Amino acid sequence: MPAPTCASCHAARAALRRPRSGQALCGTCFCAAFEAEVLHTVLAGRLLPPGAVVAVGASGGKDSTVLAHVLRELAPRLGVSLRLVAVDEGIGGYRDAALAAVQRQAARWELPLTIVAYADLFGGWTMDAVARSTAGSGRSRACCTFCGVLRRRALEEGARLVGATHIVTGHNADDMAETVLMNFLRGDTGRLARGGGLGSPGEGGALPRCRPLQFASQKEVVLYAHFRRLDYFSEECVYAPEAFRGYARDLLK
Amino acid sequence: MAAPLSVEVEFGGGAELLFNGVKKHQVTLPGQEEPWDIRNLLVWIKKNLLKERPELFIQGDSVRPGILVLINDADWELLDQGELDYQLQDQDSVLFISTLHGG
Repeated sequence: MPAPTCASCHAARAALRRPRSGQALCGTCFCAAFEAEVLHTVLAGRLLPPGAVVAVGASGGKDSTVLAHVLRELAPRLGVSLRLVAVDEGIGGYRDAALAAVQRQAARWELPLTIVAYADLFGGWTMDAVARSTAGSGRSRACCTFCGVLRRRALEEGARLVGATHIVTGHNADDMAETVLMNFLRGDTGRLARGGGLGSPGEGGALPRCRPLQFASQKEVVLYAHFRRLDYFSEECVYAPEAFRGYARDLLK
Repeated sequence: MAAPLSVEVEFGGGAELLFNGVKKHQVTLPGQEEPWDIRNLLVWIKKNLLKERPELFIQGDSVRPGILVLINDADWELLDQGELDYQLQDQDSVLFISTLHGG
Protein backbone atom coordinates (compact mmCIF):
# COMPACT_ATOMS: atom_id res chain seq x y z
CA MET A 1 0.00 0.00 0.00
CA PRO A 2 1.38 3.43 -0.88
CA ALA A 3 2.00 6.07 1.78
CA PRO A 4 -0.96 8.33 2.77
CA THR A 5 -1.37 11.85 1.42
CA CYS A 6 0.49 14.74 3.10
CA ALA A 7 -1.59 16.24 5.94
CA SER A 8 -0.33 19.74 5.08
CA CYS A 9 -0.44 20.21 1.30
CA HIS A 10 -2.89 17.34 0.61
CA ALA A 11 -1.15 16.88 -2.74
CA ALA A 12 2.07 14.91 -2.40
CA ARG A 13 2.50 11.49 -0.82
CA ALA A 14 3.62 11.66 2.81
CA ALA A 15 7.21 10.67 3.48
CA LEU A 16 7.26 10.45 7.27
CA ARG A 17 5.14 10.70 10.37
CA ARG A 18 6.35 13.36 12.78
CA PRO A 19 7.00 11.80 16.18
CA ARG A 20 5.70 14.76 18.15
CA SER A 21 2.51 15.71 16.29
CA GLY A 22 1.72 12.38 14.64
CA GLN A 23 1.22 14.28 11.35
CA ALA A 24 2.17 12.53 8.14
CA LEU A 25 3.97 15.03 5.90
CA CYS A 26 5.65 15.01 2.50
CA GLY A 27 9.35 15.85 2.26
CA THR A 28 8.77 19.47 1.23
CA CYS A 29 6.23 20.26 3.96
CA PHE A 30 8.37 18.47 6.56
CA CYS A 31 11.42 20.59 5.68
CA ALA A 32 9.35 23.79 5.91
CA ALA A 33 7.98 22.72 9.32
CA PHE A 34 11.47 21.80 10.52
CA GLU A 35 12.81 25.23 9.55
CA ALA A 36 9.86 26.97 11.22
CA GLU A 37 10.55 25.09 14.44
CA VAL A 38 14.22 26.11 14.47
CA LEU A 39 13.13 29.70 13.86
CA HIS A 40 10.73 29.40 16.79
CA THR A 41 13.47 27.96 19.04
CA VAL A 42 15.77 30.88 18.21
CA LEU A 43 13.09 33.58 18.54
CA ALA A 44 11.33 32.24 21.64
CA GLY A 45 14.63 31.69 23.43
CA ARG A 46 15.99 35.05 22.22
CA LEU A 47 19.11 33.13 21.24
CA LEU A 48 20.40 35.27 18.37
CA PRO A 49 19.51 38.99 18.47
CA PRO A 50 19.32 40.98 15.22
CA GLY A 51 22.77 42.14 14.19
CA ALA A 52 24.50 39.13 15.72
CA VAL A 53 27.55 37.75 13.96
CA VAL A 54 27.10 34.01 14.38
CA ALA A 55 29.94 31.52 14.29
CA VAL A 56 28.60 28.10 13.26
CA GLY A 57 30.74 25.26 14.59
CA ALA A 58 31.06 23.23 11.38
CA SER A 59 32.41 19.68 11.34
CA GLY A 60 31.12 18.56 7.96
CA GLY A 61 28.86 16.06 9.76
CA LYS A 62 25.08 15.86 9.53
CA ASP A 63 24.15 18.06 12.48
CA SER A 64 26.30 21.08 11.69
CA THR A 65 25.52 20.71 7.99
CA VAL A 66 21.78 20.88 8.71
CA LEU A 67 22.27 23.70 11.23
CA ALA A 68 24.27 25.85 8.79
CA HIS A 69 21.81 25.19 5.98
CA VAL A 70 18.75 26.04 8.09
CA LEU A 71 20.33 29.18 9.58
CA ARG A 72 21.31 30.31 6.11
CA GLU A 73 17.64 30.04 5.12
CA LEU A 74 16.59 31.92 8.27
CA ALA A 75 19.40 34.52 8.38
CA PRO A 76 17.48 37.25 6.49
CA ARG A 77 14.50 36.91 8.86
CA LEU A 78 16.70 36.83 11.94
CA GLY A 79 18.89 39.69 10.72
CA VAL A 80 22.09 37.83 11.55
CA SER A 81 25.20 37.09 9.52
CA LEU A 82 26.95 33.73 9.51
CA ARG A 83 30.56 32.55 9.62
CA LEU A 84 31.60 28.92 9.44
CA VAL A 85 34.29 27.92 11.92
CA ALA A 86 35.83 24.46 11.60
CA VAL A 87 38.29 22.87 13.97
CA ASP A 88 41.17 20.71 12.74
CA GLU A 89 41.90 18.37 15.65
CA GLY A 90 44.82 16.76 13.87
CA ILE A 91 43.34 13.28 13.41
CA GLY A 92 45.02 11.73 10.39
CA GLY A 93 42.75 10.29 7.72
CA TYR A 94 39.55 11.34 9.48
CA ARG A 95 39.52 15.08 9.90
CA ASP A 96 41.05 15.83 6.49
CA ALA A 97 38.10 14.24 4.70
CA ALA A 98 35.61 15.96 6.99
CA LEU A 99 37.24 19.36 6.42
CA ALA A 100 37.00 18.80 2.68
CA ALA A 101 33.23 18.45 3.15
CA VAL A 102 33.11 21.75 5.10
CA GLN A 103 35.06 23.47 2.33
CA ARG A 104 32.59 22.22 -0.29
CA GLN A 105 29.70 23.52 1.83
CA ALA A 106 31.30 26.94 2.33
CA ALA A 107 31.82 27.29 -1.41
CA ARG A 108 28.28 26.17 -2.27
CA TRP A 109 26.60 28.37 0.33
CA GLU A 110 28.99 31.31 -0.20
CA LEU A 111 29.76 31.52 3.51
CA PRO A 112 33.17 32.57 4.85
CA LEU A 113 35.05 29.64 6.42
CA THR A 114 37.84 29.77 8.98
CA ILE A 115 39.72 26.66 10.11
CA VAL A 116 41.54 26.65 13.44
CA ALA A 117 43.96 23.82 14.25
CA TYR A 118 44.79 22.27 17.62
CA ALA A 119 48.45 22.17 16.55
CA ASP A 120 48.55 25.97 16.17
CA LEU A 121 46.49 26.76 19.27
CA PHE A 122 47.92 24.26 21.71
CA GLY A 123 51.67 24.31 21.20
CA GLY A 124 51.87 21.58 18.58
CA TRP A 125 49.52 19.11 20.29
CA THR A 126 47.32 17.27 17.79
CA MET A 127 44.76 14.64 18.82
CA ASP A 128 47.00 11.97 17.30
CA ALA A 129 49.79 13.15 19.61
CA VAL A 130 47.40 13.11 22.61
CA ALA A 131 46.30 9.57 21.69
CA ARG A 132 49.90 8.36 21.44
CA SER A 133 50.75 9.81 24.83
CA THR A 134 47.71 8.28 26.56
CA ALA A 135 47.93 4.86 24.82
CA GLY A 136 48.78 2.03 27.20
CA SER A 137 48.53 4.31 30.20
CA GLY A 138 45.08 3.05 31.06
CA ARG A 139 43.76 6.47 30.12
CA SER A 140 43.31 5.80 26.41
CA ARG A 141 39.52 5.91 26.77
CA ALA A 142 39.92 9.50 27.81
CA CYS A 143 40.89 10.56 24.28
CA CYS A 144 37.47 12.05 23.58
CA THR A 145 37.48 13.76 26.97
CA PHE A 146 40.63 15.71 26.04
CA CYS A 147 39.26 16.38 22.57
CA GLY A 148 35.97 17.74 23.91
CA VAL A 149 37.70 20.25 26.12
CA LEU A 150 40.16 21.32 23.41
CA ARG A 151 37.45 21.63 20.75
CA ARG A 152 35.30 23.85 22.96
CA ARG A 153 38.29 26.16 23.43
CA ALA A 154 39.28 26.02 19.75
CA LEU A 155 35.77 26.97 18.64
CA GLU A 156 35.84 29.92 21.02
CA GLU A 157 39.20 31.08 19.61
CA GLY A 158 37.99 30.65 16.03
CA ALA A 159 34.79 32.56 16.74
CA ARG A 160 36.74 35.48 18.23
CA LEU A 161 39.07 35.44 15.24
CA VAL A 162 36.14 36.07 12.86
CA GLY A 163 34.59 38.74 15.08
CA ALA A 164 31.60 36.62 16.11
CA THR A 165 29.25 37.72 18.89
CA HIS A 166 27.59 34.30 19.26
CA ILE A 167 28.46 30.63 18.78
CA VAL A 168 25.99 27.98 17.62
CA THR A 169 26.53 24.21 17.60
CA GLY A 170 24.55 21.42 15.96
CA HIS A 171 23.69 19.35 19.05
CA ASN A 172 20.30 17.67 18.57
CA ALA A 173 17.77 16.22 21.01
CA ASP A 174 19.41 12.77 20.98
CA ASP A 175 22.77 14.33 21.89
CA MET A 176 21.12 16.13 24.78
CA ALA A 177 19.51 12.90 26.01
CA GLU A 178 22.85 11.07 25.79
CA THR A 179 24.52 13.80 27.79
CA VAL A 180 21.87 13.69 30.52
CA LEU A 181 22.22 9.90 30.73
CA MET A 182 26.05 10.09 30.80
CA ASN A 183 25.97 12.61 33.61
CA PHE A 184 23.48 10.41 35.47
CA LEU A 185 25.61 7.27 35.03
CA ARG A 186 28.65 9.15 36.27
CA GLY A 187 26.75 10.72 39.13
CA ASP A 188 27.79 14.17 37.92
CA THR A 189 25.17 16.18 39.80
CA GLY A 190 26.78 19.51 38.95
CA ARG A 191 26.44 18.96 35.21
CA LEU A 192 22.94 17.47 35.62
CA ALA A 193 21.85 20.63 37.40
CA ARG A 194 23.45 22.97 34.86
CA GLY A 195 22.30 21.15 31.71
CA GLY A 196 18.96 21.45 30.01
CA GLY A 197 19.04 25.14 29.18
CA LEU A 198 19.07 26.34 25.60
CA GLY A 199 22.70 27.30 25.86
CA SER A 200 24.97 29.42 27.98
CA PRO A 201 24.73 33.20 28.08
CA GLY A 202 28.53 33.40 28.14
CA GLU A 203 30.01 33.28 31.60
CA GLY A 204 33.51 34.38 32.43
CA GLY A 205 33.94 36.42 29.26
CA ALA A 206 33.11 33.49 26.94
CA LEU A 207 30.91 34.14 23.92
CA PRO A 208 27.24 33.15 24.35
CA ARG A 209 26.55 29.69 22.96
CA CYS A 210 23.34 28.00 21.90
CA ARG A 211 22.00 24.90 20.18
CA PRO A 212 19.16 25.78 17.81
CA LEU A 213 18.59 22.08 16.92
CA GLN A 214 18.32 20.87 20.49
CA PHE A 215 14.62 20.04 20.16
CA ALA A 216 15.08 18.24 16.81
CA SER A 217 15.48 14.47 16.94
CA GLN A 218 18.43 12.79 15.27
CA LYS A 219 16.04 11.03 12.91
CA GLU A 220 14.50 14.30 11.72
CA VAL A 221 17.93 15.93 11.32
CA VAL A 222 19.00 13.06 9.05
CA LEU A 223 15.72 13.12 7.11
CA TYR A 224 16.00 16.89 6.63
CA ALA A 225 19.49 16.40 5.20
CA HIS A 226 18.09 13.68 2.94
CA PHE A 227 15.14 15.67 1.59
CA ARG A 228 17.25 18.80 1.10
CA ARG A 229 19.89 16.66 -0.62
CA LEU A 230 22.64 17.99 1.65
CA ASP A 231 26.11 16.58 1.20
CA TYR A 232 27.69 15.67 4.54
CA PHE A 233 30.53 13.58 5.88
CA SER A 234 29.47 10.48 7.75
CA GLU A 235 32.47 8.51 8.89
CA GLU A 236 33.05 7.76 12.53
CA CYS A 237 36.09 9.29 14.20
CA VAL A 238 38.83 6.69 14.65
CA TYR A 239 38.86 7.31 18.41
CA ALA A 240 35.07 7.30 18.93
CA PRO A 241 34.64 3.55 19.65
CA GLU A 242 36.47 4.15 22.94
CA ALA A 243 34.13 6.90 24.09
CA PHE A 244 31.79 6.56 27.06
CA ARG A 245 29.10 8.31 25.01
CA GLY A 246 28.68 5.13 22.97
CA TYR A 247 27.22 3.27 25.96
CA ALA A 248 24.67 6.02 26.59
CA ARG A 249 23.74 6.00 22.89
CA ASP A 250 23.19 2.23 22.76
CA LEU A 251 20.97 2.42 25.84
CA LEU A 252 18.83 5.15 24.28
CA LYS A 253 18.32 3.74 20.77
CA MET B 1 5.62 -18.48 -7.29
CA ALA B 2 6.71 -14.82 -7.23
CA ALA B 3 8.50 -13.58 -10.34
CA PRO B 4 12.02 -12.10 -10.08
CA LEU B 5 12.07 -8.47 -8.97
CA SER B 6 14.36 -5.64 -9.99
CA VAL B 7 14.83 -3.20 -7.09
CA GLU B 8 17.21 -0.41 -6.23
CA VAL B 9 18.91 -0.77 -2.85
CA GLU B 10 20.76 2.29 -1.56
CA PHE B 11 22.85 2.96 1.54
CA GLY B 12 23.66 6.37 3.02
CA GLY B 13 24.62 8.34 6.11
CA GLY B 14 27.69 6.13 6.62
CA ALA B 15 25.91 2.77 6.18
CA GLU B 16 27.56 2.52 2.75
CA LEU B 17 30.90 2.02 4.53
CA LEU B 18 29.76 -1.54 5.32
CA PHE B 19 29.20 -2.12 1.59
CA ASN B 20 32.63 -1.22 0.20
CA GLY B 21 31.59 2.43 0.11
CA VAL B 22 29.11 1.72 -2.71
CA LYS B 23 25.83 3.60 -2.21
CA LYS B 24 23.56 2.45 -5.04
CA HIS B 25 23.01 -1.18 -5.91
CA GLN B 26 20.67 -2.23 -8.73
CA VAL B 27 19.73 -5.76 -7.78
CA THR B 28 17.63 -8.58 -9.16
CA LEU B 29 15.91 -10.73 -6.57
CA PRO B 30 15.33 -14.25 -7.91
CA GLY B 31 11.84 -15.71 -8.17
CA GLN B 32 10.83 -17.69 -5.07
CA GLU B 33 7.84 -19.41 -3.50
CA GLU B 34 6.79 -16.69 -1.05
CA PRO B 35 6.63 -12.98 -1.97
CA TRP B 36 9.67 -10.81 -1.30
CA ASP B 37 9.28 -8.65 1.80
CA ILE B 38 11.81 -6.50 3.65
CA ARG B 39 12.48 -9.34 6.09
CA ASN B 40 13.64 -11.57 3.20
CA LEU B 41 15.45 -8.69 1.57
CA LEU B 42 17.57 -8.15 4.69
CA VAL B 43 18.61 -11.81 4.64
CA TRP B 44 19.46 -11.47 0.96
CA ILE B 45 21.46 -8.26 1.58
CA LYS B 46 23.40 -9.91 4.40
CA LYS B 47 24.30 -12.81 2.12
CA ASN B 48 25.00 -10.91 -1.09
CA LEU B 49 25.96 -7.28 -0.41
CA LEU B 50 27.16 -6.83 3.17
CA LYS B 51 30.96 -6.81 3.25
CA GLU B 52 31.92 -6.33 6.88
CA ARG B 53 30.74 -6.15 10.48
CA PRO B 54 27.16 -7.39 9.84
CA GLU B 55 26.19 -6.57 13.46
CA LEU B 56 26.48 -2.88 12.60
CA PHE B 57 23.69 -3.28 10.03
CA ILE B 58 21.49 -6.16 11.13
CA GLN B 59 20.31 -7.10 14.60
CA GLY B 60 18.03 -10.11 14.92
CA ASP B 61 15.83 -10.13 11.81
CA SER B 62 15.68 -6.33 11.48
CA VAL B 63 18.05 -3.43 10.93
CA ARG B 64 20.12 -2.11 13.81
CA PRO B 65 18.32 0.62 15.80
CA GLY B 66 19.36 4.00 14.44
CA ILE B 67 19.19 2.94 10.79
CA LEU B 68 16.30 4.57 8.93
CA VAL B 69 14.52 2.71 6.15
CA LEU B 70 12.81 4.60 3.33
CA ILE B 71 10.77 2.70 0.76
CA ASN B 72 10.18 4.72 -2.41
CA ASP B 73 11.33 7.76 -0.37
CA ALA B 74 8.80 7.23 2.44
CA ASP B 75 9.58 6.09 5.99
CA TRP B 76 8.76 2.38 6.22
CA GLU B 77 6.80 3.06 9.43
CA LEU B 78 4.31 5.02 7.38
CA LEU B 79 3.24 2.24 5.04
CA ASP B 80 0.28 -0.09 5.60
CA GLN B 81 1.79 -3.53 6.05
CA GLY B 82 5.02 -1.64 6.46
CA GLU B 83 8.39 -2.23 8.08
CA LEU B 84 9.54 -5.85 7.81
CA ASP B 85 6.22 -7.00 6.32
CA TYR B 86 6.24 -4.61 3.37
CA GLN B 87 5.95 -6.61 0.17
CA LEU B 88 8.37 -5.45 -2.48
CA GLN B 89 7.13 -4.54 -5.94
CA ASP B 90 9.17 -4.53 -9.13
CA GLN B 91 11.16 -1.24 -9.49
CA ASP B 92 10.83 -0.32 -5.80
CA SER B 93 13.67 1.58 -4.20
CA VAL B 94 14.78 0.88 -0.65
CA LEU B 95 17.11 3.31 1.10
CA PHE B 96 18.91 2.60 4.38
CA ILE B 97 20.32 5.69 6.13
CA SER B 98 22.46 5.42 9.23
CA THR B 99 21.85 8.12 11.83
CA LEU B 100 24.69 6.86 13.98
CA HIS B 101 27.74 8.33 12.32
CA GLY B 102 29.58 11.54 13.02
CA GLY B 103 27.97 14.72 14.13
